[in-house]
Formats: sequence, C-alpha cells, structure tokens
Amino acid sequence: MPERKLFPPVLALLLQNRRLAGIISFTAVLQAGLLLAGLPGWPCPVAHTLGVPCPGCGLTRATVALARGDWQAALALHAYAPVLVLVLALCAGAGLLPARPRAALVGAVAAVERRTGLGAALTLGLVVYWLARLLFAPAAMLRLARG
Amino acid sequence: MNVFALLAMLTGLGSLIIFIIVLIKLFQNEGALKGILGLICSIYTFIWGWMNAGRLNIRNLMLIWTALIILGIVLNLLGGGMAAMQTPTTP
Repeated sequence: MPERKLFPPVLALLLQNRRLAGIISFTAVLQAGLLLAGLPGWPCPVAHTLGVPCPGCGLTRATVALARGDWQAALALHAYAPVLVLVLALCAGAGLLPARPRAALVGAVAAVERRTGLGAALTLGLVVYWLARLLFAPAAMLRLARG
Repeated sequence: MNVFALLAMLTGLGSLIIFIIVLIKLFQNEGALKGILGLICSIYTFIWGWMNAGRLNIRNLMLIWTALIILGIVLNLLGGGMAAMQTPTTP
C-alpha cells in the first residue's frame, strides 16, 4: 500500500541525517553555553546589519530562560522556545542513538509530520508569528534586536 | 561611531550578503520548507553550507563567511559600547 503523503516532513528530514542532527545539537549547546557565560555567540546577520530581528532572534535567550524555569520571560522573548527544546532533544536523540532506535525515531516523527503537517505548520507559523510581532510589537522587536 | 564599530558593520554586511547567497542555494537544493528553516535560523544555513560546500563548490564562500563572523565578533568586542548598541543579537 503506498504511503500517505499528506504533508511534507520537515523535521524528519533533518533527523535522517545523523551528522547534521548531531552538529545542530552541539551548536545549540555551545550557543547556550556562550550566552550563559556572558560571551558573544552567533551574530545574526540580519539583526546585526539591518537592525531588524530575524524570525529566530531571541530563541536562544528564551530557551535559556526556559531552562532556568522562567516561563514568563521565555515566552515573552520567543513563544517558540518550548518547540525549540523539543526539536533539539529530537536532534540530540537522532545524533546519539544507535541505528535501530534512531530509525524508529525518525520514522515516528515522519509519520506524525505526514499525518498532521505539524512540521510544516510550525515552520510557516514561525514566519507568521515573526510578522505579527513586527507589526504589532515593533518596539519589543527592536529591543530584541539590540540584545 | 568608532572605527571598530564601522568595521564590524562592514563585516556584518558581508556576512549578510553571503548568508543570502547560501540561503538561495539552500532554497534551490532543499526546497521551500528547508529554505524557510534556513531563513529562520542562520546557524542552520551556515551548517548546511559547510556540509555541502564541496558538492556545491562554495568552500571559499564558506571560508569567507566564517572569517567574517569571527572578525565581526572580535570587532564587536573591541568596539565596546557603541558597537554593542548596534550588534547585539543572539538568535
């Protein structure tokens, strides 16, 4: 029976590539570590040059706030922080797990994404969320771009 | 604006241009959804660029981008206050 393909998977494609998933999780840990140490992390090329935050700006700070248990600050900085934590946990799993459980994990994520379109919806939702914040809370967004 | 802040801005501009070039390649090679992912998270675009640098023949471009990022961080640190007002952002 042909596999149903209602929605294209996004996250599963990342998880399929073990090296990519591993590098993403390592980079995320490094970025959070630099932030916690008060050192400069990855400079966003969009915010850095144009002064306008990109859709992902604030996510590291929000995730660190979330890790500290400060939900309010985390959600104020970026509502996608819990999603990022989940995605990074999946990436770490895909990077570290042995072949068989990793294949099961990727398969399960792909199946959920194909049935629900969750990956595509969250990706597009992030762009909508960014546009909404730019339109309705520009001052907060500029503060975000300034760090 | 001090000279370090100005140089940091120039490296930022170079970094943005290369980001856009690599992002276009990401869209062309991986489709719209992964392209949007690259737009959302420039670190992903950077990692993807390095992973595919050989295949896409963009190794030199990635080397320049990496150098610009490192230079930008150093210049921002040297630039101190004024540069910090312009650069800030951690994604």
